[in-house]
Amino acid sequence: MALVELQNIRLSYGNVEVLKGVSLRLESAEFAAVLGPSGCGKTSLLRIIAGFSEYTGTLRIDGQDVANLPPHRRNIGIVFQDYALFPHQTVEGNIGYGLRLRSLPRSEIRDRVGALLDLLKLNGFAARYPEHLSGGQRQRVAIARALAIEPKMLLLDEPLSALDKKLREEMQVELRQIQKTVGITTLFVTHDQEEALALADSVIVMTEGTIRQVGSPAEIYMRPADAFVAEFIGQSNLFNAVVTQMRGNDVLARLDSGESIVLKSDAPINPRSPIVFSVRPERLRIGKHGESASLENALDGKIQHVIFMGSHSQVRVATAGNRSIKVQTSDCCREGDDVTLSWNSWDTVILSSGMS
Amino acid sequence: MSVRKTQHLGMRAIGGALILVLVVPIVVLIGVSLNSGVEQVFPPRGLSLRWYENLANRSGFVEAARLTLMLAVGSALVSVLVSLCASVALTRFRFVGHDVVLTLLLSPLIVPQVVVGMGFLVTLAGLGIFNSFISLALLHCVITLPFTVRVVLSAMSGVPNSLEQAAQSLGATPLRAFFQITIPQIAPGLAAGGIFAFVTSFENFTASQFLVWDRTTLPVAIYTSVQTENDPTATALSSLIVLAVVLFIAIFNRFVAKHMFSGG
Amino acid sequence: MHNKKLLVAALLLPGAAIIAVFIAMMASMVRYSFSPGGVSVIGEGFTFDNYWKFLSSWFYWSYLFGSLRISLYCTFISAVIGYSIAYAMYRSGPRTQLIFGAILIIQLFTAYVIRTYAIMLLIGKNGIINKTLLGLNIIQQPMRLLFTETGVAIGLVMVSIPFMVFPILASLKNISPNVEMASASLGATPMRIFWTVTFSLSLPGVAAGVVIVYLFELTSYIVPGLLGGGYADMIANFIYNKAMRSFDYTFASAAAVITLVLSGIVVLSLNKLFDRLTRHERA
Repeated sequence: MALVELQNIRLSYGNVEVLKGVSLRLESAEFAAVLGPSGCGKTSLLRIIAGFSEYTGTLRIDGQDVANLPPHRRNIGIVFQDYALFPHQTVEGNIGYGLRLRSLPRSEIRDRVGALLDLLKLNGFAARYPEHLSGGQRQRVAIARALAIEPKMLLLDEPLSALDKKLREEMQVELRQIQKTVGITTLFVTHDQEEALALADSVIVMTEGTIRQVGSPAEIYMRPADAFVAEFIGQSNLFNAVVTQMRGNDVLARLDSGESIVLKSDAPINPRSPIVFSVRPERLRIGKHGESASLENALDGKIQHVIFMGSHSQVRVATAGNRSIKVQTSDCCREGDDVTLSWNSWDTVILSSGMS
Repeated sequence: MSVRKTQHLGMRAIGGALILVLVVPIVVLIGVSLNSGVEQVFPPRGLSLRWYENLANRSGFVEAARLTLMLAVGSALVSVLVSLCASVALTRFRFVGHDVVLTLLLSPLIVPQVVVGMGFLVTLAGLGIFNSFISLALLHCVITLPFTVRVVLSAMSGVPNSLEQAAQSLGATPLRAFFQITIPQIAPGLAAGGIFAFVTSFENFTASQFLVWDRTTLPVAIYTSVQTENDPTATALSSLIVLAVVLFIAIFNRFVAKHMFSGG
Repeated sequence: MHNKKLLVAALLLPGAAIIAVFIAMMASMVRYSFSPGGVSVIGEGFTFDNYWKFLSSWFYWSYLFGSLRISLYCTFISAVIGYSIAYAMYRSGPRTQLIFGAILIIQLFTAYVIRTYAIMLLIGKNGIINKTLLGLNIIQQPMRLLFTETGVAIGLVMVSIPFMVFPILASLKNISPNVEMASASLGATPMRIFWTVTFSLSLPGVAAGVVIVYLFELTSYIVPGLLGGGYADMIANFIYNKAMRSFDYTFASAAAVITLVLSGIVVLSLNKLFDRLTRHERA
């Protein structure tokens, strides 16, 4: 049975529709990420699950409709974007707050808080006040405080956005480990797609109040459902083409600039249908101009600029049809070179086709 | 850069001189109150505390002091509580007319004291209510409210909603979250608001003087005394009040927010 | 979610009640200003008599103009003095700021009556000012300061200074130090930096102070009352006398309403003026 079930959730602020009929299921012990740009409604979704927002539709937690269940009875742990630590209480006081509310015996509170201090590597900080903690430490305290009440699930609102890169990467690993250790259903909200792909079992891509795709990180990345997902997740190059004929799983098509290409598709597509497909920058090979490529598809072009990133370079290639193709490669090339791009048919994803 | 240094020194000297100008009247006041004779001169001729002792005999002043203190404490309490309720409504809920409500709550500020007093007088006289205590109580609540609203609202705005929500998510009822989490955060604001209200009520004269029928307040009593009497008793009373203020500020400075008095 | 609406209403109720009382008092005063009246009488009916009486006589206008005039130059003087003090504080270390600040706050917390009384003792015939000037032989006879407009002016200025200093200081503190440094690096002398950068950027604070002080001085009662002794009455004294001495409630109400309207006009005009002056300050 799913732990959290949302059915057709809608939310409006005045005239603005923030959530336009969102339906979702979260399984027990799942680590899910809601990914989307600012304003897509992801934080509103979180607040609805937590109980801090009105909504229309059905929200079931543990099988129970929670429309009339106030936040303080939902037993859901929340880590806020600003951590929301109580400034007038110590780390120990913060973590133990929920336990004190439940009138647990002092010794038990002490034990539980101690265990969490261990888990979150906060040993030695018990008596500190939040103002004397670093960002990373505050975040751990926020997580510990939420876990202390042994909640049904954990909600995190942009948990890592305030941390610098190195700290963020460390915390990503730790967060994952903690979630696995404790085995708690976790939903976190982020605009950072790298974070979502790195942490989550299941990624829910949202924009403008609707869910565009739900899937594992690999699925989302390799098989984006539409142009938005393709562009939002990673980089992609979008092409327009018209299908000339189908041969089994192969789709023969012609680019809008005339070149013939081969794509793959599971479902049949009518000839003469217009399609949009996407190729990831790292799937494109740059070869010398005219050199016949070992890959199925080829496109001529000229290097516009090269940005050296250390482990690879980001290259922009101008091709016919006024395109500026993004390529990620470790091959060396210089601006102004004439080159041929090539890629395999199975490295393309058809995003929309002429069939309904 | 020595040029800047001397410039600053010059600035500070001017500023210091000007500040001194403000201090001189107070010094003179205290000095005059220590006169052993009836004449109100400075420097005092002979030093004596007799005018301070005389205060105990002046039942008029004693009564006025009692009323003024009651009004000040009462209106401070009422103002702070009312402001607290209003601030919760204004910061934790969205509703139509938010700005209008705020403007209305602050509206007594923009009306000149003499007009406020006039309004109260004319209305109460028209209604035949000639009870000073009730009239003054109402007046002082009205006058102190905008000050406390400003302070308390500002304090509450500084506490993010997420704190209360975090407490609720951990199991605290909304009421409990408010008292255990928000109130401690705004406590300094509540205290400051209370102090401002107290001072505003205590020293209020221009509006209050319209309503002193059967009872009078201390500022009004002092004013009347200054105009009609000829001994330094009023200066003694005034000096006591000044000393109380100085003491309060000194203690406050010591134990509490220093930055409050560094001119901000 | 009617629950929430009920809660909001309940929370706003006490504040609303107090403000309602206030507005009721003001409204009924306006009502009475339109009533025919006389001594101790508030008659039935509606009439513009009271307003006509006030607005058609130079004698009454002179109170308004007198108050506007005195407040004008007194506000100007307080602004100059207040700015100097604020600037001195701004350029001083925390210790000095603390002391100056404490002195100013003590002034604020001490009732106007008391402060004005103290000034009375200062400027009287036997006051310390006259004594010092006589002693230094600057004057041969004691100056008459008390019970003159000059005395009132001195009082208004001294009482207003704390109200000037704080807003100005706040806006001075808001100026990023980098701005002054940038100006200096571009070759500006300290004097120029002050006028073109510091002063300009602190103008919003000056504006705030001026509005507060002007309004306060315009409708001041205690200072003209004690230091003017009846010889330099301002509009507030006039209203009080009409109400409490002559018991001409309706006429006094009309005068009060006129004063209120005047105050409104003054505040709006000053705000507009300063808005225009500080237009470049706003992002």
